[in-house]
Amino acid sequence: MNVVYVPVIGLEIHVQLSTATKIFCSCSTDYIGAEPNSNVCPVCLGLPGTLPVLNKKAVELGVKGGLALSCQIRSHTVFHRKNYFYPDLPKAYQISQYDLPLAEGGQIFITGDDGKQKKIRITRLHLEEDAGKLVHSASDGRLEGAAFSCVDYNRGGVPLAEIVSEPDMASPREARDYVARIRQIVRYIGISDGDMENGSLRVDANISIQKTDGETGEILYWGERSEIKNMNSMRAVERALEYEIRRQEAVLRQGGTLDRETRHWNDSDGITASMRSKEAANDYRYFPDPDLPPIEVTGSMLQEIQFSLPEMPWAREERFTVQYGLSREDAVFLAESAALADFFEGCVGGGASPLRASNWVRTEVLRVMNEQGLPVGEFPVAPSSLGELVAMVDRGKLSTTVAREVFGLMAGGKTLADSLTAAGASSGGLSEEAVAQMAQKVLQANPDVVDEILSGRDTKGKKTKFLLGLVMKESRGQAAADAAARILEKLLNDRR
Amino acid sequence: MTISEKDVRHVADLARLHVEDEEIGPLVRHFEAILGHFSALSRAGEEGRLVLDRVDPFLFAERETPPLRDDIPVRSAVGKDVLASAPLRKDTFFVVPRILEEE
Amino acid sequence: MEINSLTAAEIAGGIAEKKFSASEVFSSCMEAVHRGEPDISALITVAEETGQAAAREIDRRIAGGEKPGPLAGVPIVMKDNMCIRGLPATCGSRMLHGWIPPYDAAVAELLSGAGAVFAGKANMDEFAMGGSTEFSAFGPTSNPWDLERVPGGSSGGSAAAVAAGYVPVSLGSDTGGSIRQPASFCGLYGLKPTYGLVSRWGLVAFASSLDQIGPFARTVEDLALLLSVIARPDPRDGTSSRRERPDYTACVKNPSLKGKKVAVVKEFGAMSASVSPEVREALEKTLSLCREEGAEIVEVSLPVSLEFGLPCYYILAPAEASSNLARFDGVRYGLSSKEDSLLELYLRTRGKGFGSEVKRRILTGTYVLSSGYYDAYYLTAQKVRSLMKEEFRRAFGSCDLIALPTSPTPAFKKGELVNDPIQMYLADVFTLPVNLAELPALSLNAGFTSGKKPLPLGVQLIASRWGEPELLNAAAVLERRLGIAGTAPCTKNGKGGRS
Repeated sequence: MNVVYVPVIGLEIHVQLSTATKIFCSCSTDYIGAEPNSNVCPVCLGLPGTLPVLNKKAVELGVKGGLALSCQIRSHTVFHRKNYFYPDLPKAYQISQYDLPLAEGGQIFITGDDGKQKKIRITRLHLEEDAGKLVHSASDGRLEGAAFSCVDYNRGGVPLAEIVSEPDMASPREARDYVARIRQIVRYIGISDGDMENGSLRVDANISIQKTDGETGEILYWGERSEIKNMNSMRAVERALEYEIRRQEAVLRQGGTLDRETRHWNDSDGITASMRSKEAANDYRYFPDPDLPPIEVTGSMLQEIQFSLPEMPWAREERFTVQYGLSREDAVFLAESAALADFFEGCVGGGASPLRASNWVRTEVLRVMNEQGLPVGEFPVAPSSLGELVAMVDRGKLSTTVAREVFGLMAGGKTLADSLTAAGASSGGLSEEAVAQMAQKVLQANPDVVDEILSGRDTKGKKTKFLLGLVMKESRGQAAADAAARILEKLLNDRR
Repeated sequence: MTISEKDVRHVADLARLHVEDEEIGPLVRHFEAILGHFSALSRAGEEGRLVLDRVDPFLFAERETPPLRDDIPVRSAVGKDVLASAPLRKDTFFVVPRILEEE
Repeated sequence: MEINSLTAAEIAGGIAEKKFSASEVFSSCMEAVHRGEPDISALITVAEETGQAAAREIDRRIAGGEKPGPLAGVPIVMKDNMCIRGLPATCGSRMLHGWIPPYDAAVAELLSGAGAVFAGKANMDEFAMGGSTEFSAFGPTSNPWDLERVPGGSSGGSAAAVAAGYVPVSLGSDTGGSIRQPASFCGLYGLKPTYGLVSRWGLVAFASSLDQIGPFARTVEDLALLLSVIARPDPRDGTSSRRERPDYTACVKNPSLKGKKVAVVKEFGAMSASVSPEVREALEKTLSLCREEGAEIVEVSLPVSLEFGLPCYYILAPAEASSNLARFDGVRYGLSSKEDSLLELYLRTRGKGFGSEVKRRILTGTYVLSSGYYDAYYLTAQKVRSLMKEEFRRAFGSCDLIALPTSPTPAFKKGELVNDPIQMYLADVFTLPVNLAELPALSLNAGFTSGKKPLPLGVQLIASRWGEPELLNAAAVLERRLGIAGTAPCTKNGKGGRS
């Protein structure tokens, strides 16, 4: 019998919500770099006698997240206490949500291993408070072997949205794609900056292996799942899952069984290790938090938030292919971030043809962004201005080479008009060559004046001015005066 | 509902409460007595004197929807006071001893 | 005029009229404290210095023409589970011995805002769990009416401080009867407001869905005065009601029971054997007086509340408490056992820091929430609680007030029930349904036992939600008939009995 091992992967992603204050108190969420325990108050420290009051913005962002994930939003949602002891939890319970979460039953689409769109179901999105941070005394900073640990509650109470997926992913690659998509979404809708490096997006994975009959697909044995923690980058997620699949498969191949456990990813050693009593047998004794009556999400709040949702990345990708005729690949690239997509559309709005605008944004704009280390939102050239420039290329008024030169000047801070002039391309659409032709014509028609100038008798420059006036007249005012002057001078000098 | 020493120790564990050996016996007896009182509820249910099938649990009945807080940061007045009561400190950190149990 | 036998209203009035100063009142208060404390032990912290400074400040402001508030210069005591910035708050426990809150409770802010002067923090059963104030880590409090007896609990210290004449009014907290029962044992008025009327910000939580802060007083006027100061909405407490509060002091001005319906409880009959004869008589007497004052006596039925209130409460309250008290772990404040590992830190700190009654309740609470038992216990109790609430709602459809004893007996002797916790729980049978149903209730002194050392007898009136005016009105009528209780005779300048 042909045995096939099928991984079954589900992910739990925590995102820090972009509120100004913590979820249950008015402390700032801007804690990074703050002196330890300076960004705290009696509430988030859980001092005796204190009570939580829910942050309105956290609810709004949570609802926004739920809607973006196509979830059903609960009209009355309840907070529960999740009771356990750990030093980063000042009340010895985390205020979280249990069986009546804010949002349920959604989905997103990723690119499956077969290259096709694959639906990943979202079980739920709920709100909860973040815990404090621990710094361990061991020289490698790890928990193992640390004789003591230091606790900083600055982060405690920051609002989190926990997004739980069904175990619909079948490979580390799909898992990584899912994380990328969730990250993209939370950034798109502005509920979180979704940064794994600074901890505003965290991933835990649940993975199990099914031993199946290769022909019939019948499941012969389904191992218990492992929960994998401590994966701090998307690459780590992929690597950790790859390792875990190998490990679990190896156990099953040897006829062993797999029990439910929690494992810790060790990035430097490239392995997962079982976590000991810290997580063992946790009975969270969930019960509804009596200090927080249920939150009502009204129809009008829901509507308002629904309207505030921007076009979602997949919708934008689709529209870019249909409306602008872009290739799927280019559409995905441009729709990667809302800001980049907005920039592209701003260009098109400025008059550029979509295909050329797409090229320009993907090449020139990105190049400058990387060179200058700028996010697209701070790009020195307004998209409409770039659009105007590209439109000129579309109309044949400018060569691409010249246009690139002009763009370079614009990126340095010049306006479109000045850049065109400085690059020798007069505003209004006259190219250098055209102006030079006109200037030649004028010179040829006025040999006496040219003689006078060339023999040095035009001390006050009046003759030069006269010729310039003729060039301007000839160009019907379409030449830029300083460009024309410069060209004229050059031509005169050529004759010396 | 009988309760054993093992049950009591397990609950004490969950509650991180050290219980001396000599406290176990009295605690088991206390639990037995109080669970006996609690069983009045299920007995009444069985006898039909308490019909709970379609009763909604009390949770928050009649509570006003709480006011939601505006998202405006306020620096707390407590400042360094909170560290003043710390049993163990290192600079401005609270300190706890070895977290992981040795094997 | 003995300052110590004046009411809060009289003190505030006298100070405003410059008959005497806040400093004089406070000195007199301290004298009473120092005289009484060796026998009574009502206070854990005596705030002599800060109180004197506050009293002087009130005098200075009055001299300057200011009106510092309706309680200006009135000395007051608060139960030690309420936070006053800068003063210790022990909750009667070793666990918080020496802890100084860095912030004020809402009620502390309101009282100082009204000009009251804090004289001290009162002894209590540890973390408010108990019915006698014998479970305090700092020793028991004695009942001023009979020093061998308990003052009741868990707000025993607050009640004793008023009964002993230290202060005219005090604040306690009530989760299952902890204001009403000590009021009844100490011959005072004690009011537990509707859940949500008084902010819990700064009250160290025992059972969050049941706790309420309330006043002790010797007169109905003082009770109303205190309530009007502390019953304010508070955005820091998500369970605090935003409803507009009526003028409580107006309720006692022209009180009348004419046309009111006062109910007896049908099921009480079967229980009356467990109630002492004198308590029954006090209840009867109260009902007669109501009738004489124009009330109609009717009957209501509360079978679920009276039969199942106890198990329901002793599942829910410890469950919430087990969670609320989990934060006491030796890491950030309070007692901390010096240990090598985190686990030992937790186990030993909590093992040493909590007394036996608190431990019992934490364990019970943890058990009923634990995996496999949540449905059978916690969820079931929540459903029973719903039934009780509904039962009371129906009852109030046919009456304005319900009358019951506060406690089955008058004050018992120290040591009598301390080793039989469940027996002590049974004594809460009439008080705890009120907390479960989130209703307001008041205990009033309806007389004394006969015998060498007369002991106060308390009767309880219960009203529907937000029915404090109903309670104050009825109490004011009864006060006219029953007279005003003085302070206990054991205090050297107390008058005792009825004036």
